[in-house]
Amino acid sequence: MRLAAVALLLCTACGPWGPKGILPGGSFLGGVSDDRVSDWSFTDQHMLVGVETRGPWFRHSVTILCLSVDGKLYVMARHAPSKSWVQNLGRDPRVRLAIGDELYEGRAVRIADGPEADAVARAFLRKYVGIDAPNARALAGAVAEGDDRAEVWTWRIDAPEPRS
Amino acid sequence: MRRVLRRAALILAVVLVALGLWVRFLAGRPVLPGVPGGPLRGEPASELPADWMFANRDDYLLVESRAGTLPYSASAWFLAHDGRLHLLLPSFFGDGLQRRLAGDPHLRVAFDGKLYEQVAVRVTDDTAIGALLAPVMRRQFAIEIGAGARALGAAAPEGVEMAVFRLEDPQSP
Repeated sequence: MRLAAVALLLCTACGPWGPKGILPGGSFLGGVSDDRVSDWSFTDQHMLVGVETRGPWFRHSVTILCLSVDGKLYVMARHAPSKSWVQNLGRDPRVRLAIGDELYEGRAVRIADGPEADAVARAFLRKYVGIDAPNARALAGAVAEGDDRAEVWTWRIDAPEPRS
Repeated sequence: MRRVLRRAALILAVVLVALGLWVRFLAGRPVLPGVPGGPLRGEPASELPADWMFANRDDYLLVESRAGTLPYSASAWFLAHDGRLHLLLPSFFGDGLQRRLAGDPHLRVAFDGKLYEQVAVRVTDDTAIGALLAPVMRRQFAIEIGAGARALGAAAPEGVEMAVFRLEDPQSP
């Protein structure tokens, strides 16, 4: 039965459709919005969004959390190094995002610790946990041995490279 | 060709149904994140721990509620604090378990192959919730909450809530 589950997951992960809930998917169907987004704060209305990344063979898409801070869009990954979509971003930062009924193109730029990551952490606590924590800060970087915290990586979604 | 396709579709449907039944009733624990499982597998514990702090070595707690028609198990965020288990149920994971606990606070906790009976009591004190959230946010999302944190309450985005429950031993008959 476990084999059947793995086989089914592999099938869904390669199919020409986006993620379905917790199940990963392949390439998104549909065209990308022509609008260049300058303010992503409308994503505050969306608790979950889809992200499509480019693997070595296939496109791979998953459902993730998203945050907007000062009009910029951010996505996060827990236990980041083990995730396929994160590994894809390391090879190719081009992403497509499914937000509501629209698709958007972007380029994922990983952010390190510092004020930008701290602001994202505060936005996360507000949007997903319902607390205001003015002094919250993100713990970025590799996890020290014996520390039980998850390794969380954060990316800012910038405008895509202009097509040549 | 059509016959082959029909047969393939039938096989796929049978596999999907069998998989669904296994996930929901037979796996003995929730298998997929966000998808509830059925009855937890394990031996009923002969006695309840007086201090649950040892449980903090795990990231998630396996819990089962029998409040609905079917047993419902989930892996939930938790923290052992002051010797007691505490469940932290953020609304973005769904409210399936929270709704069931509102109907019947009795639940079963699985740990190291043993099943422990517990009763969930809602925690509403903001200070207590803050003390519980800090280590959980650090562990699950690598965020240090820092001083001055407060629950947004009614000012929180619509539908956003972190429900916290302390697990107590059931009353002796």
